[in-house]
Amino acid sequence: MSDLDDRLQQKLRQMEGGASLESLRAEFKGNSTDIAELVTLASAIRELPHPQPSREGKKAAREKILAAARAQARQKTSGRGSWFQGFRLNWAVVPALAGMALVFLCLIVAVAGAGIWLLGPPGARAATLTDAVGRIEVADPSVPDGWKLVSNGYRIGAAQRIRSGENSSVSLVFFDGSRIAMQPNTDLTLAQVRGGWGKVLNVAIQQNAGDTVHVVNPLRGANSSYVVFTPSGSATVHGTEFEVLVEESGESLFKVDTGRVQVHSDGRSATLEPGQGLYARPTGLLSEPSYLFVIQGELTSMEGNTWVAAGVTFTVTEDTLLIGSLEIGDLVMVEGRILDGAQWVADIIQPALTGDQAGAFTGIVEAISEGQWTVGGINVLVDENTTIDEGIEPGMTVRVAFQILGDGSWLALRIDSLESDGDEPAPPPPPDGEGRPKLSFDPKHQVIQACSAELNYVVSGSLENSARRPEDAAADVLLGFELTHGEEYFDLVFLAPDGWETIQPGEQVNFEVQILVKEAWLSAPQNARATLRVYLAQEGNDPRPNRARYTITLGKRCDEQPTETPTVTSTPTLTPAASETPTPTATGTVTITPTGSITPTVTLTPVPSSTPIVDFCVGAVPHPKGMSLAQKYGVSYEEIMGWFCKHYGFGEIDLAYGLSVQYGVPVEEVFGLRESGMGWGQIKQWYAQQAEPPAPPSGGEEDGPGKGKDKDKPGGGPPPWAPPGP
Amino acid sequence: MAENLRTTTAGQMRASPEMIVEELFEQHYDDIYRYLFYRVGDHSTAEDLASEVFLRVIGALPGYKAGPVSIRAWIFQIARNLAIDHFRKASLRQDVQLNEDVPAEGSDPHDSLEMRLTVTKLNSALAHLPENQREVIILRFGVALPLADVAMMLHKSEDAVKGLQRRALTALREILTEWEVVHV
Repeated sequence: MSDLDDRLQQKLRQMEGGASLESLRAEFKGNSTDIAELVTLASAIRELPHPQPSREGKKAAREKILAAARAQARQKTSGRGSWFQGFRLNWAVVPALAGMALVFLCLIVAVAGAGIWLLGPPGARAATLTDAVGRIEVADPSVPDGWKLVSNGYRIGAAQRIRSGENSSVSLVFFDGSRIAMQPNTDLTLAQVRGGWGKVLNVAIQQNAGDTVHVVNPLRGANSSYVVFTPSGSATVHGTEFEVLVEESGESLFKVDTGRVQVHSDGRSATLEPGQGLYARPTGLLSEPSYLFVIQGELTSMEGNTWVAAGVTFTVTEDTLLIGSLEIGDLVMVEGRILDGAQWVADIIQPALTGDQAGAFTGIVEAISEGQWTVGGINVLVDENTTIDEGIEPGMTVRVAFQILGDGSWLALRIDSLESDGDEPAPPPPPDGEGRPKLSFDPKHQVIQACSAELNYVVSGSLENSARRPEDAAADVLLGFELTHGEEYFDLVFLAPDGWETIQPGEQVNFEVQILVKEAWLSAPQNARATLRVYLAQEGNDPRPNRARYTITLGKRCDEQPTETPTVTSTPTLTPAASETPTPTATGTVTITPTGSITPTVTLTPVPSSTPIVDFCVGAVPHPKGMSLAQKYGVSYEEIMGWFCKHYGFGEIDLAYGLSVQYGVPVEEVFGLRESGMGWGQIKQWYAQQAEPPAPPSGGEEDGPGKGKDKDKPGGGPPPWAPPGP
Repeated sequence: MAENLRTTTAGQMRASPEMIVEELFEQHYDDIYRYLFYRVGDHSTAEDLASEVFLRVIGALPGYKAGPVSIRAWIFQIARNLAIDHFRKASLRQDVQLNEDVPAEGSDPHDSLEMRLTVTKLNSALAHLPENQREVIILRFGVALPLADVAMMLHKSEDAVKGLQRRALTALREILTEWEVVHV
């Protein structure tokens, strides 16, 4: 170190301490000119208007980070996962277990046929996503940020975690028709899901955050169970409609609409009747079951803990969740509980969605007289416009929806009975198995060179039922999609529409796929790819497997992209027909205009064979095997080398393209099967089986074990490589 | 009353880990972003990495022990490790850095009519410095870390950093002088 270094640091320290540049420069004498210039430069750098994070980016980061902090805090508080610990192996008994396992294995082999029965009905080991809106993701450690975007039709199995984003929601439907509606910003793990014949259902859910509404069909058999665990308690039900809200603090609010819910927490338990709710605290305390209220209207008073909204006085406690910055005059919605039959305590106060002044509460009918009812100690007026369920008598639990009249009295708009009438929620109608629709996508494959600065792409597709008999209409058709390559580039994918009640024989329906890519796509390297696959997630009246796929690939071969304005021609069908010999143009290039409007049918331009070849994992010299395969299958060298760079051997690539040509399927599908874990022998066998004529329908016996087996085989429902249940 | 309302449960006002993380975020996020921006030269990547820094902070916080390293320097150390990791991965992927925030290599910064020192020119000039000199300039004058913290982060003695600091400023001055960029 030189003296200059010390002197410079001394001056810099003074500058950092607040000394002005002028005063420092005045101190420089003689040969200190050099240091003076350096200090000046340092000062100039410090004074620059340095870059700042965007407001949106910072906000998003803040939310993400705080959510992660909360999740970790909850994990510690609740000791989450502890209820799994009962399944941990005791190593002292491993030898004994090994012996037992051997015996068990023998038994399994002996009763192989019965094993299928034991697997339970088709779909019993997973829940299917429906009504997906916005951003729905499942945890997947194989993708860069650990979360994979999913959509309708995705099957979530045991031990899988799912979350909904801001303004996003989705329903999880179990095989018996029971369902969970996940509200925005909800995070849960489906710890257990399985079922047995006779509508036996076993579901265990770990709700980490957010709000869920459960509609559980009455469970059958002593072996059925449905339980929701939260950081502070759990709810066990046998057929009911209830809601679970996990707050940031780890507290859980359980509310019951119909049926009964048993809530447990740290050795304590309570039973919630219809219309009741309670809080479970992380400390293990359970609040008393209380009837519930919701009111909406203007916030007119905020005196201490006593507030008034819509003319109703209620109490605000330290546990009240306040959403937004609230002031007198705001229109609010207040949800809470009625304690001791009199004190209305707010649980959540948030801005109202509408300006209506109204409310609702639950309670027991105490008196019925002409023009007035008394429910839970509250008098409400009834008139000829009040809708009242039949058969309500004093002692029954009801929900009263009311409006506040000018004189402050409450006029009941509806009075609904919450007493269980024994009716079971109707399960969805089973497929009749009679129809034999033939659904296929057109086109089956599109490659889009997405080279502009746009992040939004819209592609169209169509689905055709090529069956001819009137009874072969397709019913309850639902599309799903999965990201098969370059997941890190996708932000959101929308299918619109994503389902049809019926598709008549000969009918073709159209849909759009809107793809929002992340900004990372703009800086993705040349030849980057992002691929998604649209598939038939459900075909309600046809239990046979349908392996129709529509593969959309965003490509980044920007230096070879045609720049001419696309000319509308015909809808491309890019997959070679099965009968074609090995010279199909298996891949086309579609240039689309990345705007909100759809450009489904544009010029197809085969990838030029003279494309400059750059380092495809093997250096700058074209690989002779790669060249020969490209020539053999009539595709570009880059495409072949793209698979090679994904660590496929040339033998495998040859095999995959051979199968693609032989069976008329996209080569991505073949590689997709391989990536799903199937061996090449299994893939060949599977395609061979698919090529055989389908077995005649079995007469609509949906729950038959044979079909359960089929469902679990590749091609049953979602594609075989779609990550689904076990 | 209204000013007390927050989007949180009112009874949650004790020093939870979440509050600590929130405090750290508010205090350091902007500087971490700035540091990463100068390191990676790209707004979006800098934001992504800055988020990742704090996610790692959450995981590592229980293991943090107050000592000779300030928590600010500790967080910057995490950011630096992430930046190094980012470049290592980018190198493996053979990514080509293309971003509009930084003049592409080979462009001539003194084509600009305005010859004042700007963030863009600084970033461009920093690209011509050796790695350790660039790091010192960013940490000392970009995000104003004390010399001792920089020494800790770079695993060097304070004297070594003093020397590095002078050489870095000298080299930077020469580049800017050559480009006729005014910084006085």
